[in-house]
Amino acid sequence: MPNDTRRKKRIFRRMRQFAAFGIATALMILVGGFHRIAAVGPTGQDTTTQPTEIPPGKPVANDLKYVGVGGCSAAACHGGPITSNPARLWNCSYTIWASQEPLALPENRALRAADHAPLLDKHNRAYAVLFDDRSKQIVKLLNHGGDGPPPHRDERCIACHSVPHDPATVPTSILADGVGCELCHGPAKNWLAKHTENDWVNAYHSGKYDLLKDMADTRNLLTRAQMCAGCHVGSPGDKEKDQLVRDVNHDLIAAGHPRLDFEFHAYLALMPKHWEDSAPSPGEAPIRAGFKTDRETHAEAWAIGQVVAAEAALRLLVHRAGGDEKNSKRPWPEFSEFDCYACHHQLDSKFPSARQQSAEQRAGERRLGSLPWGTWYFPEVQLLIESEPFGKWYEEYGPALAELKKQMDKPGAALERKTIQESAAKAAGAMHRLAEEIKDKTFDAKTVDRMLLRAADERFAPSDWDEAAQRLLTLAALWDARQFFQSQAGAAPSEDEEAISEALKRIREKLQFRSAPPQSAEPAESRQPHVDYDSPVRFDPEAVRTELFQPAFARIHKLLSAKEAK
Amino acid sequence: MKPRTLRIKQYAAALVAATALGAAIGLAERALSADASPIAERRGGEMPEPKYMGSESCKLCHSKPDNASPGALATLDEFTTWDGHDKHRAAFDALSCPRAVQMERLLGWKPGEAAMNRQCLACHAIDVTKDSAGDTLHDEASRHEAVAKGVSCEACHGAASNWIDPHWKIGGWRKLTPDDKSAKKYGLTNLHDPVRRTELCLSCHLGDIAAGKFVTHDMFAAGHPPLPAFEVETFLEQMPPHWRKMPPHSRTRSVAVEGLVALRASIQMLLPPPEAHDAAAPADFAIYDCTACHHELQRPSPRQERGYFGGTPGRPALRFWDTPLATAALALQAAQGDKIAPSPIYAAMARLQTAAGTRPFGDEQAVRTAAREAIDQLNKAISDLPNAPTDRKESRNLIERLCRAGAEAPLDYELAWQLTGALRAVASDWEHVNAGELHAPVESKMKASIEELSRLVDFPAAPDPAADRPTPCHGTLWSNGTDFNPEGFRKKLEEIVAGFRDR
Repeated sequence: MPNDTRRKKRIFRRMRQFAAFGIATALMILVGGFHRIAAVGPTGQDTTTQPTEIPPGKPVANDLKYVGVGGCSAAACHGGPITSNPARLWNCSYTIWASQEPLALPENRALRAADHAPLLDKHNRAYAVLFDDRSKQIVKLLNHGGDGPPPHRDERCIACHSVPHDPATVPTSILADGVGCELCHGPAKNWLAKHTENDWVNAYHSGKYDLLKDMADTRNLLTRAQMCAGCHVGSPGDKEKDQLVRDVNHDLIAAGHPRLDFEFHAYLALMPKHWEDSAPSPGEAPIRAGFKTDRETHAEAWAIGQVVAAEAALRLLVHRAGGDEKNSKRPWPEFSEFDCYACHHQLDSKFPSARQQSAEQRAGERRLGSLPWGTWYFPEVQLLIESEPFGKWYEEYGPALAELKKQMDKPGAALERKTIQESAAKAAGAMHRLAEEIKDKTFDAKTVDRMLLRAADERFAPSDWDEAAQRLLTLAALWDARQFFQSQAGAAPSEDEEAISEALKRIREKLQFRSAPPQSAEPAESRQPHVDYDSPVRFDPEAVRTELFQPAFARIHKLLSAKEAK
Repeated sequence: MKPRTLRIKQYAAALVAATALGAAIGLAERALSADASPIAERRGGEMPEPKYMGSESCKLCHSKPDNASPGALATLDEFTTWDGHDKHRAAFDALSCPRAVQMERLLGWKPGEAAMNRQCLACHAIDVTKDSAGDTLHDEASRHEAVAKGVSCEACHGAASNWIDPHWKIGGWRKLTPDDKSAKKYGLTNLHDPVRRTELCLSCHLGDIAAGKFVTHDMFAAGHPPLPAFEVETFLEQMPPHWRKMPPHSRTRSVAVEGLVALRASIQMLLPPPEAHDAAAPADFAIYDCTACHHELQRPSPRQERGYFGGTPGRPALRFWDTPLATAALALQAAQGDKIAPSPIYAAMARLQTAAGTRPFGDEQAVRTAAREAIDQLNKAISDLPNAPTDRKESRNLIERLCRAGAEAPLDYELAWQLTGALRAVASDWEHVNAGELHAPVESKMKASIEELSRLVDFPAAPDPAADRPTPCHGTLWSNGTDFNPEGFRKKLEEIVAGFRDR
């Protein structure tokens, strides 16, 4: 019936706008960490540095199996024109990655999740940013002003900004690709030719990756999340495979590198997707049978992402704690393990102080004046394992984390490498098992609602910005998931639902870092010039709790409980 | 404006009060009696353990009404000034303010414990215990009363049991040198000595771990206000004076001395405390530069532009606000053709910075070795400091050195605030003896520039010495410099230096 179709279309259009919001929330909150890379502007190539090929006789790391993006980018392969046909997206995946201009392609279904704002895949510029002033400053400060290779030849940078191998053993042409295709999909030498053949295509679509040497199963959320976390959280590297350590430690951050704040679901939303991402609209056939798109797996992506990030953070902690006193490459205590803003806030002599009042409310949770550990990676894992749908998880996976937390709650100089290393390894093992358990779980509409109710816990009292931001990202992911199920059911968003979207948006706006100096009556020329804050200046936990989260929680409860009652 | 002469007279009167009275009585006694003077007995002998007598003992003589005898050599209103106007009097009362109550809760102390805890009393009162009390404080009640007076007379002048009688009863007191009065014989602290005076202020306003005076990081985290950068002349100016006006150019001398003494005190905190005191673990965060960690993260980042003194970014950093003043003081010595070569201090400081930056909390052994070296060098430089007041030329030179050291230093709010205080003090010396010349363009321009610097750091106005002392429970105590612009400040410093050059 034409009428019915029109109605469906209308509803769908609304849903689209609506779902876009949740992702937008996730997206914008991370602006603090992520937009910086975009902000560097077009890179002036450093003409003083001659391109260097591998010196003759120098061993090539791990018999390098990379071919470079040039192997993928032919117009008939992955470098074709950007298309709106989801079935042909594979043909323009390189093009989307390589675009130097943010892409806003509302007709492209793969991109419609973010059709409110153009997106740029910054991975293609990962190498180029190493030539800008900030990168030079970072390396200069890390080298104490002394000599050292430039950023684009410095292992500490290259490990994430290009292939994770000794840059002296990698051809410049491959280094210069930045984070190219093979860094996620796997080194292509062994499968580049084969993957165009029918056998291969069949194996790919039936998920038989073991047939495909070195090719990564990026459609699997767990594999994908681990791939992202390798850089966006860090990794101890692998000596046997000549893989470099990837560690944005406090030295690097103090020298000017942005802090890391990885949250898988939000980061996915930030990427212009070069893969199939369309969920079937009501009545439509799925693009590929047996394959779930990101649109259908918001909640799963959130849960897997949280667990994977936690495991990666713990493995990195094992590595960090494993150095010795003389090893300046692994400074200890490693301050980036702790909440940035616990220390990094302007001192004042105000009384009463919001910070101290909050400490008082949470008396006993951690030692006064100590460094709060793991505020970014662990609160939501805690929520996940405590969540109603998975009651047993806490007993299984909680104690190892709790034990480590206790050991990390000591004044800086008293943190013991050995015991912490052991506990972190245990906790990482627990997270690994949890990831295995969770990887094939499907969260249905009912589970998502219960998780939402649990996340909207009225007792939630963020003690710092990290906790508040992570909870927002959780709510955004689960809200997106719920929106999807609603759209599947063909339900139009109610007033309550719109109000919840608005409330989440408000939280996002309030948590965003400021890009202007604090108020000042003084003439501009005698005061601080314009600055962008990487700090939640004057973050007030109590106000955030009562004025932002509580109203949103109340609405979520009203909406979902009413539904349950029905 | 209050007539300058009146203030001078007031100052002049104050500190000599005791001396004058002692002298008068001493003369009289000597005339009356041929008794063997206790002074003669003491000479060469060790004095008994000094005991606290309590400020009530001082009050007996020093409590005339304010300005009762402004022209007199001894005004004897010192107790009155301190009791009515000086914040030190309220130091103990602060221990029961809401802020202190919050600190008790957060530190897990019992209610009211702050007023009994030696960690607090070390700086908020005098340390009167059964063992350290003199015969005027024989019972618990009187001892408590003495503690409750806060930072009272003996906190600065020294426990009085050995000097309270001699300083008014005994002939020949006036003829004793300040060293004789203090040292091992009487224990009256020589506050005329800028080194001793500065050390004494710093022991609380910065910390002295060996003396159990140390605000730990836990205490700060629980709510103790931050200790702002110390500048001795600024802090003295904030006190209602109960002493006579110092001789001309003594403020210049004081600032030059302070540079070295404060740096020494700051480095001293890196050394482990003697066993007797458990004030702090060596690596308490509070021995490091507060603002190295405590600053908003921003871009452009002043912290990164400032650099890390050749150390690795991202580790707890040594305090640095005391370094430019020391640099200026050393440059001043060198410029005067002094024997002291400043280079060993710089070399030791560089070693210290390296050792401290090798890893978080530093390489302990290397830090201690370098700290001891630096202290040895500073001791030498301090003992070589001339004792005499300086002259106009030295004031002018110190202003220039301070501005240079500041302009070259990694400026932050603390340092800028401290430099401004130092510059104001030295400039007031200059102004004092050269009122006539002030109309010369260079001087008036410099004066205007220093006023501008003061505005940039929200420098506090000198308080009215006659005002009642503020209540002990403050809300916000000082500006935190959130809006401070280091580049604007640096430009002003450079302007002053250029002004000197143009001349």
